[in-house]
Amino acid sequence: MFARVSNLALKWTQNELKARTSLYDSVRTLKQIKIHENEKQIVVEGERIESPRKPYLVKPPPVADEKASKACPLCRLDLKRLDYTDILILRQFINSDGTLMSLQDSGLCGRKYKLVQTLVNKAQKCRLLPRPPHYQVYGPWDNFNTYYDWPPRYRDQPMRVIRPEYWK
Amino acid sequence: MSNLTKFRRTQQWLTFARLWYLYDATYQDVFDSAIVIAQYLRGMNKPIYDHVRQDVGNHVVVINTSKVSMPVDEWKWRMYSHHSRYGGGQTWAAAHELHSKDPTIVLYKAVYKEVGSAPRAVNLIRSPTMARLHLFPDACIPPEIKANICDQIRQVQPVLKSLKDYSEEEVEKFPKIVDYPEDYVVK
Repeated sequence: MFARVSNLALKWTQNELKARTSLYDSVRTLKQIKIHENEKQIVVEGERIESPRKPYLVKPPPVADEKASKACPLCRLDLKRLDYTDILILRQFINSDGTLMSLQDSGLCGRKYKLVQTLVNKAQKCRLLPRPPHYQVYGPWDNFNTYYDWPPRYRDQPMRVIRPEYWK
Repeated sequence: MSNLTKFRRTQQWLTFARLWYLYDATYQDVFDSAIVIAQYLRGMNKPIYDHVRQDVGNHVVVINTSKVSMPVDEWKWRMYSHHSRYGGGQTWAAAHELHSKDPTIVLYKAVYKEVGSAPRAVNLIRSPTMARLHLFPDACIPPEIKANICDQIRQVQPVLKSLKDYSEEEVEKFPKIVDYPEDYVVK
């Protein structure tokens, strides 16, 4: 009954990450769209900015041959029990409107990308992360508070007990 | 003075004092928290528990019942029935329909079921027991009830934090796993 939703795992992984924070040497530039409006014209411009993530990047644990290793950063970190409640980690792989980054932009391997995708979907279902525009809500039950329990418990199954003509 | 020992006298005080407990239902499972609330309502946490000859129950004040939670999609398929005792008078409603009409009734029905599962003298004790349950959809409690509260009940599961609950600085300074690729347009 107790601690099915693992906030303990959240603290664990976050502390683990904080211990490994370090600086990266390489300079990375990326773009940000800025819109300037005059009286007659609107200028839409992609300005080059420095990466805001640069001072907070984690250094993955060392391996024997750095150049030969092809593992993605999430595989190398080897976080124990990454869960849908670890929203500060999952947030790094979504845009500000809630859509997931592409596989190429995320820099993950296919397996970890799939894992992140399922966890982000779960977090959006429970409204922990912002839902993307045109997120399909089937009814008012999707807007109430919910959670995923592990291991899943089936208290009873009224869908089987009650005949379909009384379902409404 | 009575001939009770100090220990026995304290037991008596603890048993026959009606204590007021507070329970915060934010992000708590309805049916798990109903089990816990029903135990406190019936007085099963007391040093002497007698459900046959004595009524030793407590008061429980539950706040934020509109923020109560269920497992995914259980709001949809959890059904409640009601019979009006006329022919064809049975009606059915899903949990989300009840909850959107009255944000306290789902928890009330869950506690009602748990209180009624006592082995004996159920029907005599149930209505005074349920009268000691005070449900509020938000955190506002009337002051005459608030003055009585002496303790709180531990929540059955940790409260989930959404992204809005973190400050911007906390989100920004959290360690990042992957840097943006070059020529990435920040959205």
